[in-house]
Amino acid sequence: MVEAHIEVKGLRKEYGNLIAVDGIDFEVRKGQVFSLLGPNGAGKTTTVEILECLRTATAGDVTILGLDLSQSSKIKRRIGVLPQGFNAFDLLTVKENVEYFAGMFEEAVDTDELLSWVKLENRKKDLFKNLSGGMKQRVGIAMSLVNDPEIVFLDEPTTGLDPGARRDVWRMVRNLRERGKTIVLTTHYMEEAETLSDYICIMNKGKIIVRGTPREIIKDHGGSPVAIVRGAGDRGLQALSPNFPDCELAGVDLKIPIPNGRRVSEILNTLDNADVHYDEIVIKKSTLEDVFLKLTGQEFKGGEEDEE
Amino acid sequence: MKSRVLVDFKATVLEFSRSPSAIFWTLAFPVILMLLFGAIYSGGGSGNFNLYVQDMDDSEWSRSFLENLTATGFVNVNMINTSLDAQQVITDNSLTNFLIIPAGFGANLSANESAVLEFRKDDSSQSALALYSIIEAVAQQMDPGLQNVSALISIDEKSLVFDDRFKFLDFFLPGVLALTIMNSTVNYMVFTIVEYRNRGIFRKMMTTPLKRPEWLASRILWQMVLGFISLLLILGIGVYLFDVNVTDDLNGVLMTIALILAGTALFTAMGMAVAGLIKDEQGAGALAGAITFPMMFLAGIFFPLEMMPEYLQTIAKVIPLTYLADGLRDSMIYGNMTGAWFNLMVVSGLAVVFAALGTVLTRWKQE
Ligand SMILES: Nc1ncnc2c1ncn2[C@@H]1O[C@H](COP(=O)(O)OP(=O)(O)OP(=O)(O)O)[C@@H](O)[C@H]1O
Ligand SMILES: [Mg+2]
Repeated sequence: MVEAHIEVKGLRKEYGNLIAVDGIDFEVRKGQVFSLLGPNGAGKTTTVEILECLRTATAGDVTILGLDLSQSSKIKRRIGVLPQGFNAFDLLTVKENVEYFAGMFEEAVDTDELLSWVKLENRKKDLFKNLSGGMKQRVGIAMSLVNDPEIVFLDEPTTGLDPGARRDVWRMVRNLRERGKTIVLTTHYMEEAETLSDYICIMNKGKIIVRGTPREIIKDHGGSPVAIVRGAGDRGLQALSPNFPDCELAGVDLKIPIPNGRRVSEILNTLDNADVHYDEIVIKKSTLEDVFLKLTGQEFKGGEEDEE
Repeated sequence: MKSRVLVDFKATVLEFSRSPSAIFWTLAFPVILMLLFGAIYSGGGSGNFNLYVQDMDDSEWSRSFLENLTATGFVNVNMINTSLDAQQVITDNSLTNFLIIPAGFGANLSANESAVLEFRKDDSSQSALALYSIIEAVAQQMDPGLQNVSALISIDEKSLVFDDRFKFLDFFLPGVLALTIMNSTVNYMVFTIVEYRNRGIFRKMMTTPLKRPEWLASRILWQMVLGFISLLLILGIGVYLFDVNVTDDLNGVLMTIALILAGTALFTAMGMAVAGLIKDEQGAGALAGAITFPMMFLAGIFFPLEMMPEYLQTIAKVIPLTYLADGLRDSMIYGNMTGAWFNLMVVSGLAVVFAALGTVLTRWKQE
């Protein structure tokens, strides 16, 4: 078994009466991309910032790279952090900003190389404040790597970015994983967690409610696939409901959960035989998002809001 | 060894050099203040000279003499109540000139007897010298005796002697320096801390081995450098443009340096305390203003404390800026080392108190 880079046991964090993290346990192995998922206020940032030695836990045992949290200055030299809602010095250039943080460590990597890696080699002389959100986030990622860390913490690295910029960040995460870094990611985006993670913990109200690889989680908690027949209307419902009692109408679209062992062709045939007209059929596999909504039992806004 | 303090210091300087508002408040503001007050109080330059006159004679002749002075277009005549003691008025208002027309002046002239004008002037003041020649010219022109060969009017010229009295600008210059140190340092600390905290820059810094004392050291160091740059600017203007008498005694210079260092430390700590007390940017800015603005007027920067009502003097005694300004005046102008030592001790003591307060109030680590 691969060595554990992070071990967390019985971690708790209270802010006055509020219990932000309510006794969680998990382990992150070397080289893994580990994701914390959860709605706003679930306790993700609190959890990772305790691991980053930025906040103190109320209770619990944490070991990072074999070190106890009390050895924070040793830990800080071996981890890299992109805080949530990251910002740097507005009046310094990209290069100056990265060099500042490189200068804080006794040993640092070549900043020019780093900036090429995050594709900012042409923006080195631009002031940080004049960059777009996506570029700022890439500066932040570069900064989190100046000390060539063994573990990289990325707290919501893609919140507020457009789909293209988000995929740029994904590429970087994958590339870091290939280079053997351990990555702790927090995100609101299910798709992101699903494509990037080796292991996922879904948090809600300070607790980890589900854990596993993306596949395991979907398999265990996702429902059956759903066929959506657009524009089939009332006639479609009448035709299908004898064979598919769970079928329901949403506007003029039919939603038909496909139970284990049944086939999509059955639906098609039934509709054809009844001569029902429809626009298209879509088969939706269960995604992490469905699991998430089901488990956290709330209207999840998909992280569209840019908080902080 | 790579010093984190130096890395942060370099960033501080770069940030400063790109922030026009910071440059204005720390460098341009004291320069403007010095030029403005210098121009007002040295009375030189273009435009009119203010002449202070006590007309004891109040005759037809004296009135037309003053009218003629005004008519030259160079002189503003300011009448001083004849019941006042001339020397007292001069001392209280730091006047550089004073003309007395003695009683019976007009009568003497009418009787074809000689008459004497009394003019007291500060010999170091350009405007007083200019006024002297203007008065002389006007008097000559009006002298009835000149038609009969010998002049009747003469001017009794007395130099104003300032034994323990200093020019207003002597008094003002160290005050401007103290004021600049306070304004620049308090505002710098408040806005930097609030900005860094609210934008999560401290949080990012905390993920590195940088320690808070290292950060603080670099920022204080920069404020001290700015303090010395202000000193040079203010001195340059004061000494070369307006003839301020600054002591060049070594002890005085060392004391001035010590006071600038202690003052910077004091106001850095005060800025930290304010930023720690108030979390949002506007609130902190408002509090910084609410603290520095009254200090500016109550610490005896623009006028001597002795001129203020009793209760304001009491307030001035609890204002930190008073001690920095007084100390700098002692060390730079008066050469009063005992006073300077006392003020240095007060400023240093306050610096320690505020530093403790500031450290408690501004934690990097959020709970
Ligand atoms: N410094 C603090 N003081 C008091 N309460 C806090 C503090 N930081 C976080 N909390 C509370 O703890 C809970 C967990 O917050 P946390 O930031 O860890 O959530 P999160 O999962 O990161 O949320 P998001 O997705 O919005 O970033 C929230 O209820 C939050 O209000
Ligand atoms: Mg968060």
